[in-house]
Amino acid sequence: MIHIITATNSEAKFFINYLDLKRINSIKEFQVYFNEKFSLTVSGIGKINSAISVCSTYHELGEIKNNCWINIGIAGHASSIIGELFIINKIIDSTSLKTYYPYSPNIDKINQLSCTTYERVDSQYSDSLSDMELSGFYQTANKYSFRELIHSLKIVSDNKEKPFDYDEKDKIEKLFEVKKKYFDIFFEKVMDIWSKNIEDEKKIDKKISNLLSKIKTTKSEYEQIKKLLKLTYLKKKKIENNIFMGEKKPKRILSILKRIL
Amino acid sequence: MKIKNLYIEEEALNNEKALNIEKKLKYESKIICKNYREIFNPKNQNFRIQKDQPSIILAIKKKNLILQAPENFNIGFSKNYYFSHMLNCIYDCNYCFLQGMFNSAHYVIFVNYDDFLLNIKNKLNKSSDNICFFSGYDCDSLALEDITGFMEYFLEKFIKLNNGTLEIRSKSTNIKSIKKYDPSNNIVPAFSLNPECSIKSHEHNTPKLINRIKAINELQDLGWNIGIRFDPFIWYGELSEMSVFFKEIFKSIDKKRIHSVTIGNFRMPNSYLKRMVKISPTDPYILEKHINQILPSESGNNAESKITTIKEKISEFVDNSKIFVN
Repeated sequence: MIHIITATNSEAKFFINYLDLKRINSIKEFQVYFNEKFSLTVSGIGKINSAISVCSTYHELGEIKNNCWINIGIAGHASSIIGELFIINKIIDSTSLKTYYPYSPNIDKINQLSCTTYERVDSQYSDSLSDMELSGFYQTANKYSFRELIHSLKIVSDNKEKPFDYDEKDKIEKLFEVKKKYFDIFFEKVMDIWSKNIEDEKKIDKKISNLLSKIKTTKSEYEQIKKLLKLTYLKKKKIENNIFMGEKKPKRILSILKRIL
Repeated sequence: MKIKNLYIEEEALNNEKALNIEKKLKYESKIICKNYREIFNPKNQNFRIQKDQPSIILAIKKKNLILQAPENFNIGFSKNYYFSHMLNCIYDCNYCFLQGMFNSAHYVIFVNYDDFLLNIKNKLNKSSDNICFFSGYDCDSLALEDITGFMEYFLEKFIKLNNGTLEIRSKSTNIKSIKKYDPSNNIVPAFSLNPECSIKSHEHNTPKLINRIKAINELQDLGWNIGIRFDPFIWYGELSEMSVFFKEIFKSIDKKRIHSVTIGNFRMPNSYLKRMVKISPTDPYILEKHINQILPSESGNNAESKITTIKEKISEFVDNSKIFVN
């Protein structure tokens, strides 16, 4: 699953419509939308809100590790043209001065740039994009997933020549819509990385958990049987439902599995 | 060479070697960092995902340039050190301990080549014994030579050192840099070998056995003494077939120009294996090795007897004094 985090409704609107996401009304702290493949959470402005929204999304949506997380939003830049889309390859927290280097998926069609996260609106503009959420999002998402599955996409909404105009909020949705093709490419690539590296394991773990739920074990027996079952599956490409041969005692099951291997 | 991103430490920006390397690379973004560890060390990175598309980090190695080699890691010298001008490798051997040791699969190239030499000279100056220095411990010594130019630079200087010997361990057939110099007794090009079926299953993206043999032949014809490395030696066939394998190997190379042969089993601290299982959860080879460590077989560990058998078989072709168990 891909979890999208946006700061405002204006940034979320395009994705809610485009991905046909439905609101989860039972979640009150944040607006959370979802479908089978995506979730979208509107975090509110600022890095603390962004951090809490990641945490909340993770716990509300099943506490599933190693899903994909993408912060998508608008950002300012000194000279880039309005509407330009970037993958963020360096995050600088302007307060702590800590720097993070997100993994860049191999997508030639979208340029990369750094982004600096500020506490307040940055009206100075620099060669690094400026936002108010990313460092908080990134640090928190790192608790729940591999770095290679955590990304940020920013669209330039204002620059030195044309500072941000709060009366033009409605135009934000349009900025995202124009880049629809690139979001598709990005989502596909990220899902491809996830499928190739994470999905198989999740499927195997689910099957093994089902088998293990039928027997009583100590924690260490559970881990040992789990590993042997996994190896059996990887070697034989399947696990029969009666692999334990009706046996319920963990030690006997361990012997059976060792014999099979 | 095309890579995704090039990371450069601020301190390495104007380094001549770094500039030369940069010229040889095609990259999308150049990202400046304070220290390579900011990119290389963070936990929670997935080595396997990065391995599909590694970036290069150019850095300055400041500490621990030369390190004491582990006990038993030797080719006949009493003092042994190792060093790595690079971290990680362009090959993808599924038994490789680097996946368990490093958090990142990006290639780090330490561009302060002079400092490696300086540290080696310091060790030699303080010692009356001959010292062996192993290159290619945390990388492959030659695989990325066309980009780094490390060996070409280093060999010219190392050849002149009196009481130091350098082992250049590699699976690569890129021997251009060695061929530029006359054979020298204190340089030991060493090639890791395995049966072709093991290479296919375990040593992804590496040269075929036949090509490694050709590289050995080429250097031996020029007068170089070569190290043969069966470490780790991965054998799936019958014991009787093993003799045939070694016969073929030693028939195809000049036995008089063998410097040494080393043998080793797959060996890995469990903490590394645990991490490798986490990042390669669907690799049966890694999982089986991990299980063997936590649930040892009731028939006991026969790794030692395997090594004894391998050594016996090799000693039919090479003098025992040249065979070392690592």
